[in-house]
Amino acid sequence: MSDRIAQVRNLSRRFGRTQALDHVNVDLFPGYVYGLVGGNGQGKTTLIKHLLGLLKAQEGTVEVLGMDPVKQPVQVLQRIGYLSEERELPDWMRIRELLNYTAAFHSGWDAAYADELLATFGLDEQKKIRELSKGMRAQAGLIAAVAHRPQLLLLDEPSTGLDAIVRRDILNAIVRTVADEDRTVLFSSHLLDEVEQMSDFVFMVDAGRVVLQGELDTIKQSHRRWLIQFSEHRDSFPRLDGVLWAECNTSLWSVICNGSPQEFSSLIQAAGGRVREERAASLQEIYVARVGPGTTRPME
Amino acid sequence: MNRWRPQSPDQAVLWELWRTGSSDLLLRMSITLGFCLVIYGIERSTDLGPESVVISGILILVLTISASATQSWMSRLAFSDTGFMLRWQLLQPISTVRLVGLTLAYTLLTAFLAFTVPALLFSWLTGISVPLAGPLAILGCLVVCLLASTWAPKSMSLRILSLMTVIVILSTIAIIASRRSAEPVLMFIGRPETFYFKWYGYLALAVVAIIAFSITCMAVTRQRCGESLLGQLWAAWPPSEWKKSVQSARLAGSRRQGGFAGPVRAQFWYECQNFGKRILVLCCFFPIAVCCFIAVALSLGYDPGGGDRVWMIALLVAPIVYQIVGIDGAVGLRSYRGSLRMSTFDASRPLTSVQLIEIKLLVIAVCSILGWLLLAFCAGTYVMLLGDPNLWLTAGRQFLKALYESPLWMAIGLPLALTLVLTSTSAWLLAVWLWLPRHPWLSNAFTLAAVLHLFLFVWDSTHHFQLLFLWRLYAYLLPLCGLAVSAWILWRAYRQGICRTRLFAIACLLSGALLVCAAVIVQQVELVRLKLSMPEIFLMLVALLLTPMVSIAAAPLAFNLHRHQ
Repeated sequence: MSDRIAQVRNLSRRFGRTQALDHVNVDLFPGYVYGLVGGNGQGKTTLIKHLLGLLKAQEGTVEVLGMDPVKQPVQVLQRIGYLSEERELPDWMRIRELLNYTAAFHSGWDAAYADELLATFGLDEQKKIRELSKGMRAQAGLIAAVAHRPQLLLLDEPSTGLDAIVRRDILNAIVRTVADEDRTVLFSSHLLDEVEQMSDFVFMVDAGRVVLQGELDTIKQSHRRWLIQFSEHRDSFPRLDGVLWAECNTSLWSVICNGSPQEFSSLIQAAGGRVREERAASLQEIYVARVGPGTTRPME
Repeated sequence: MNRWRPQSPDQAVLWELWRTGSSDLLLRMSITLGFCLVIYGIERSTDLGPESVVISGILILVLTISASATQSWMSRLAFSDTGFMLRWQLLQPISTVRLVGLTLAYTLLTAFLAFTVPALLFSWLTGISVPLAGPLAILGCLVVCLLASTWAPKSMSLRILSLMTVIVILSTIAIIASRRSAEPVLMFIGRPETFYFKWYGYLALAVVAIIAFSITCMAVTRQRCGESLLGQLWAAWPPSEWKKSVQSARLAGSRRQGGFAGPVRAQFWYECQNFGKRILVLCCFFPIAVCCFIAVALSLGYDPGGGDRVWMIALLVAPIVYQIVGIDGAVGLRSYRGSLRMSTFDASRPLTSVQLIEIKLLVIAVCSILGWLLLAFCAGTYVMLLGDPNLWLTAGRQFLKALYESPLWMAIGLPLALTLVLTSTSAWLLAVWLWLPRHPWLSNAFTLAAVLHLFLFVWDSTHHFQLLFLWRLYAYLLPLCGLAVSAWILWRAYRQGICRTRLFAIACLLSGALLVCAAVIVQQVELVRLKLSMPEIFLMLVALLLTPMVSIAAAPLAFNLHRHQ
């Protein structure tokens, strides 16, 4: 991997008594699509706002494109594209005015690309923002965020309000185009199938901490889902190395495990169990295993 | 911890009203109580005799205006949201009449409290009787009408129009009523018999209030399902061809909007659209309001020469009014989850905070100057058609003569001081407007401390200034605090690189010019030299000399508080 686009070190942030971020470390490299996964209020937006310089680090450091986004906001913001979760765009502006206005701040504005996206989304450029639906606002905001071909594209819950087709085809295409041009995308979402479909690298955030990070394929390969049956009834699953989560459904135990499959298989046999099925775990299953109820993190 | 929780929708509505408006209510009460104490101080220090009626008149007028401006309708004016203030309550299982009625009842109660408590305190302190029943009936009617004009319209322009209509109608009624008496207005208001209404007087007020309440309920009922009273009329009345032509004209207008030459021009355009338009709308309304005021006064038989004086006062007051309105828009904070904050769109503009502040100040200045020129044009037209040009010529000659005869330092110092006041005021107001939402309780604490000190001062003035040592101490402490705060702001500005900007250089030049001017004054005027030998006066002057630099440095710092939280 080449030079970092962004680097976050030991970032902590409190809002009153709430610990929004707790010693977070993140590295973003060019040409990758990063998915930021987590439930509501777990710190995704807070992390993105730190990268934008809208929040000042209380503890730790944030560096974007080699600069501090709080001290050098102009240089950083000129090279970033951002779509906010709230789709905060001025209500009184028309779409064309929004694009003209945004273009003035970015020397690399690609008017042809903006028009192409307008046509793809089917947006009327003369409509005012206040007249747009939530999804249309997201589309307008997305055009304003990507048309200057930013080096780092930050999308906070981009799919909220978008219909299934736009989400699956257009959003995915835009994000992939950005990554193919050796630029970087960080998008937050709680739709795990979408993250699985779009991202190369995943950050899983829970209670302000990054509980899991890595390349999506590596994560999926290292987490397996097992269906195990024991000869006699058990009230709890045996304490075995690598087990993240276990749930009993009738006589079968569903288990998410992180580690070598061979080792786990032999441990199960030693404990009196029989493997009925084994497959790669989905991101949804991994997420539930890492942060959901029934998580057996101490065994890791 | 067993915290109280609302048990019913009614309690929830009342709790929400108290939660969102209690600090504002307490602040307003503190100010009116402070005002009562000032009047009490004046009354104690001078033997007023029959003129106590005037004092009573002033008190009733001020308390009525203050109490009618309760938070429930005032606070909503600042935001772009229109319609009923507790919109989120429209989703609750509570009838519209009940919801509007409860909100109205709470607002009335707070208004009555804001009037009655200071009035009773004043009566108790001075022994001057202040009528309650009549003023409260008028206040109640006024509040209901103001609430109706704020909640019923769904667009901001209609809201401003309806508010102005209510204010103009009520002012006209008040002026006509006062003309029935030969006494001056304040004396007329101050007499208890003015407010001894017959039963039909109360009935008339009640009928007006009931009509206003009914209109509000009808409007809010329509708002509940996404409609508006006038929206239905709009849908029915203008012909569709006319609507189409209006829309196509709008589209054509917007198509002319091309690209921008650079980020600064784009931001200037953005700020003009965002809040500059608002100042310009006010600039158009202001001369109309002055004309209406003069027309009403002339129709009531006031001195025709008074019109010229009203225009002169308007020309003096207008720049400050335009600035305050501009600052309110320039701040651009909006309510989000119960707190005021900057939108991420505004905060993520790729311009420095100093540039953004520079552009905001420029828009305020440009719009204020344009508005003032419009007002001057209207005043000129009035003078040519109806006014007395000699009066203006005499005033102008007197001013020029005074300027010509005055020493050089005054001729230079006066315009400089005016420039200083205008530029520093905008920057200071912008800084304070941005800073206060981050520390809401601190502002209340300052107000409370000021009111307490006012009370102390009033008491002390009637007790042969026994606390003179304290006031002397403050004369040293306050400039020292001012200097310390100035030093802290300048140090922060230096740390954040604000001191290396063009805007700060202009402020330094202004401060330098002020310093030269002050030095000349000190050299020329014996009295000033004598006063400056007093260390507290010297400290105060030094603190004042820093004002342009500090105000210009404080605005971007306060802006950064929201931009990089």
